[in-house]
Amino acid sequence: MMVFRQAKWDEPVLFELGGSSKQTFAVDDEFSGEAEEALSKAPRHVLRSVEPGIPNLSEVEVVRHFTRLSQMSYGVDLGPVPLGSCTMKYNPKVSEELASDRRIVDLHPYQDVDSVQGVLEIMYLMQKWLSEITGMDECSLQPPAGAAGEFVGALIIKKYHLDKGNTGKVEMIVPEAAHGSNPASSAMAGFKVVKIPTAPDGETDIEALKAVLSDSTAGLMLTNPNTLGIFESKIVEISDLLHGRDALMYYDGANLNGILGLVRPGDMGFDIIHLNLHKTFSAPHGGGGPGAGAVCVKSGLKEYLPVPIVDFDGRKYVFRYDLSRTVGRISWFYGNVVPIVKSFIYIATLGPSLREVAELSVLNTNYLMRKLAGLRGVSLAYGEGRWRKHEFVVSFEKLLKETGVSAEDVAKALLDRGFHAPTIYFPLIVKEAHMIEVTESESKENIDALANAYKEVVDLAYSSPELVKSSPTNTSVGRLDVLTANHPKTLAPTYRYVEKLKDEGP
Amino acid sequence: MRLGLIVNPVAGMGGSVGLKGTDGELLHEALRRGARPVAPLKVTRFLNALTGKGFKGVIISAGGSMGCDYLAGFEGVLRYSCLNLPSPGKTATSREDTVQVVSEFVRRGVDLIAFVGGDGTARDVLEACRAEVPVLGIPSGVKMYSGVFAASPEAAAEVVTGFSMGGVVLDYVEVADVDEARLKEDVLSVRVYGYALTPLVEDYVIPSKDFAGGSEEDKWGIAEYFVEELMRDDVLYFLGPGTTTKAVADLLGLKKTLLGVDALFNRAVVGLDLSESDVLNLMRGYEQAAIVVSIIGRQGYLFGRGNQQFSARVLREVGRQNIYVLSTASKLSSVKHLLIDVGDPELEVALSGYWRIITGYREESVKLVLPACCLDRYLRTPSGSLQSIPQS
Repeated sequence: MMVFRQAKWDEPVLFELGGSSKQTFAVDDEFSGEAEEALSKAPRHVLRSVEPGIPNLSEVEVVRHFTRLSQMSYGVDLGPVPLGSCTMKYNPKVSEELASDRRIVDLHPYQDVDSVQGVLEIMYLMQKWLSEITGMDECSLQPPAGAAGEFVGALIIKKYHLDKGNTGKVEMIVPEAAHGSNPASSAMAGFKVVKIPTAPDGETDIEALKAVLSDSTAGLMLTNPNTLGIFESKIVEISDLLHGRDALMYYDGANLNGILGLVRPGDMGFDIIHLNLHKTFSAPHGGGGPGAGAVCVKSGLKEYLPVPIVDFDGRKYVFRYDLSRTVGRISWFYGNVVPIVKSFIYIATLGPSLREVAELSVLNTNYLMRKLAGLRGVSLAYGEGRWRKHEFVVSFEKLLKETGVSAEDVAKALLDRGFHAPTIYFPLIVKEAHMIEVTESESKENIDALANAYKEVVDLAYSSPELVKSSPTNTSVGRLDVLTANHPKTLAPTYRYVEKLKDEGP
Repeated sequence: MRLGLIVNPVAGMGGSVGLKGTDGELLHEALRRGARPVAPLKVTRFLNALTGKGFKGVIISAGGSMGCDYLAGFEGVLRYSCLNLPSPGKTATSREDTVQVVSEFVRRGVDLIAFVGGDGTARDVLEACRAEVPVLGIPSGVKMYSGVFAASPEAAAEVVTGFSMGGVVLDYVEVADVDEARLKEDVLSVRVYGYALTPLVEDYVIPSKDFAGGSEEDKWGIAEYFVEELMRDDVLYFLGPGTTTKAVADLLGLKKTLLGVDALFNRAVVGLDLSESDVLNLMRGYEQAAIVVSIIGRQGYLFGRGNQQFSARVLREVGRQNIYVLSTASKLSSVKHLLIDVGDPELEVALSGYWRIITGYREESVKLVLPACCLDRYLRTPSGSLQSIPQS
């Protein structure tokens, strides 16, 4: 077993580093006269009377500060990050290198389109490719992130019904196991949210769905496979039920790792989908972002997409703003172009092998699921005996009852063994949940190591539960007091706020 | 921050010797069976954890075995003062002592009362503080059906510390206990005796991106949605017991009994604390009537517990389409399905099926309602579909 020891620096925040002045406005003697003259001519109101409140450091001090911080943090480049529903796959360095090219990072949004034909071609191809992958007819790359894409979807549904004069379509149906942003996006778009339960087999309770379907139903937001990693086998029937009420089907495509190249939301009957390019298509996220979303629709809804979209007139690529029913803009300019380029590289390098991403992800998921579900005190809350797709959820409810060791304790103990914790306590319908996703990036050896770490922790829970409960000890920071750590008096987003807290005292 | 601390020294003693509590006569039986005190250990664990968290407030404690004995023998550093209650020299403590001490806490203006005990103690504390001062239970009882208890003495210390820092949500929770009258008939039935104001801290659930900050109980959101979009003029509304339905009355600026059934018509009160026959009589004077109820947390009763005024006869007359169910999302998620137990199997079956429960502002959740009479007929098959479910 690999030993994990994280660096522990007593690193102050940048503002509290250093002391003596290392910054100066250095002017050669030769030009001192000119400098003084320039300063004396400057308008008085632009001259500072006090020094700016910024750190006073030399370059090497800044570099060391951030290197130390990086030694105390953890990411995909250091080890597996099995966060369920987050799709923390490896971000290929070739994408980073190419997307860092000056021809990409120095682009200006006001440049003439004739001078940016290359990047427009990338965007145009991405629209086409994503349409093909999802079984839709047209995409817009405007959304800067997943939830923005969802919100666009909800707005399209709203406008679609209003255009038909159906003002009574006020309800959006959302499964209770859905991503929390689904009800939020629906509510923001002005819908009433109706949540439907999950059946014991892990699928949406179709009887409950039938019971709430009415002429007030505007649409259904669904992820398939759902957050339990289970494929909704009655999806075509569900689509037919919704379409029978003139309601639209919305696919939360934040994570396509379970179906890429195998099955398409468009073929399942979905009308609208959003994608998180930073998840499935391997642009960095989780602090390394920014993210990028895409929203794709069936041809009948094309005119509703956010603008601009990129079009090709046979000679050159152009931005189109003239979609007749557009819901408008969802962000500035053209979306986040750099992650779009990274995702483009990811798809281009894989080509037809894109399908293997899903195949490997599903294989990895089920391999690990079988290993974990057999551990003492661990169970699968829903869908016993069913295969999972991109992720799975195990419950430590039994372990908690028998040993007092909770899902959170297990997660903390994994940190000591060199793994990032999975998503815990989600979905809310599973008690003491770990939601685990290893993606296609992890090797069999890594998955075995993770499974061994789990086994070691669970065994320890039965022999010495206090050792599990006192972890982590090998990390830079030990167990946090959850309440204090999340309290506004200890969470400081800016240094100005830190100073304010200091003034106020404890 | 001033913390009132009171200990029921005999709480929980019945548990290990197979008694359902240690209230009243049961204590003698517990002692006869050789029960040992459990409360002292819980107090010490609480005080240790409180010191560990650097608690900076002052503790005002009941005297002797109801508090100060443990503080005097405690080795950590805590600031405290002792009340001269119960009278020094008293050997046995009683529920009257609890009431007296808590009343003194209220008079002295403590910010929070922590008590060591179970449901019986919670009832006594509530009686004295009348939900004016927040209360937190350090679990030490045999029965703990009430919502005022922290998960453990250590968790209680966590909540107290959080409370002293400010920003902890206060809400009314049920103070419940076994219905002693029914217990004599050998029926285990839990009754809600009142509502206590309690600091609520989500139990060590790490906020993830999907539910940052944990779930804030939104009775106001439920009430606003109901009043703004669902409540109509010229309909007689019966509001069932509980704090969620009370929020509706509060929003309208109307009076509402917490444990009773009250009636509203065109935003005015037309009846308070009604019996079943009151409800039936009142209905005769109005064109249309509707019922607004909440559910009993953890047990999941929709009708038949705590709101027996809504009898089978009343429910038949009102009709399912005129029944609104309100529940916070967290309360709803604490139960698998809801139950109707009104002693009328035919009606119970007719009312079963998927109901929409109002869980927030413009937010509803679908829950399966089952007839208490005939649960075996409604068990789910492994594929998840119900064998028989009445279509509504």
